[in-house]
Amino acid sequence: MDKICLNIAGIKVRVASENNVFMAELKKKYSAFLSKNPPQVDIRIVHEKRLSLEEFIKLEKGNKGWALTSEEFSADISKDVRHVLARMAADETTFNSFLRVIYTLFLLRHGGFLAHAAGLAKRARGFIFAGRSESGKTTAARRMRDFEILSDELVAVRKVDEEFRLFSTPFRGEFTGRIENVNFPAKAVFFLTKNKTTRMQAFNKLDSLLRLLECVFFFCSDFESNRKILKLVREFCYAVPGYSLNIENETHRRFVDEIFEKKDWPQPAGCLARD
Amino acid sequence: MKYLKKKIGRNPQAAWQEIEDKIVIVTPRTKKIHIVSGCGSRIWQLIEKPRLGASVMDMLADEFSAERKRLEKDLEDFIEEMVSKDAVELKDE
Repeated sequence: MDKICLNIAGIKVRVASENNVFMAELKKKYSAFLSKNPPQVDIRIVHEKRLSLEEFIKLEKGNKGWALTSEEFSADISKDVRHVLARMAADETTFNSFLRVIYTLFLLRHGGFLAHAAGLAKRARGFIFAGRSESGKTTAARRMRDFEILSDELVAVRKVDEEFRLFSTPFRGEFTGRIENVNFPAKAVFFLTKNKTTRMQAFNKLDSLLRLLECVFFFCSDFESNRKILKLVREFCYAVPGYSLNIENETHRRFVDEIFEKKDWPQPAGCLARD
Repeated sequence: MKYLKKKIGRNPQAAWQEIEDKIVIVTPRTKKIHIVSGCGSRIWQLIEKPRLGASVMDMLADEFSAERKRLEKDLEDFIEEMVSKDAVELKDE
């Protein structure tokens, strides 16, 4: 059985499959995220084609552990979330989809979550550009110059030593360039809008929380997981300021550029810029 | 007020957090987000353990200067909205 160890958002996962071609493809696709450190989770993959009639992804907690079901993949996860038996076709795209879902569970256990957002970094500071599909995440990744791209689709957020940090992920959208395995302190969240009349402004904590919750990639339905994620996102919103941003607006973009050049990060109070 | 003799309690499966004097509730199954503010925030605090509607009403009347009838309407509206959203449960005394 061929094995690789991945390190995504600081959580190390060993993946094993008997399909050598599939594993060779994973080694190539996840080259920036390979690790030699001991894994925290073992994932054994059995390759099956049709798995479930479930149209929607379900990640449910049972007495013996967790059960993940979807049209494309399924998995039995031990109670301590250290051992996973996964079933899916020998296909990297399916594996990537599976990894996105299962990492929501891994991250939650390590004080983190996946945000449906682009993550960019500059001068060792991390910034989230959050929004729904078509809101401009990939555009943000393309348009903001001299930034390191952490992801244009799903960025990982984790609380490490009382500080929220952004981690790059191999979960990408349309961006095809190389993404390195890096992480930086989270300094701001920009909620993307295409509304031309939107003023660039700082959000209060409640508005930030509500907007960010809409962008959190999350599948658990049990109370404890919901409680944890809500608490974590609330903490994040108290620690990291949130702003509205129209990435198509030159004034907004220039203002963001100017902010990034500053040594001191502005306080999240009041209106920051005018259209 | 029709809920005076009912026990009002939170759905124990509803996750919630207080933020800027408001309560953000995520209801189970649907995972929908609900915001409660003002008098509703106080009612949410009061029903941490299930309480009789009459008892909640008396406490609100002690704390808020509004007319009792108005408070009764607020409590009734809160209960009906939160029950429909699966955030609050009603039980007979």
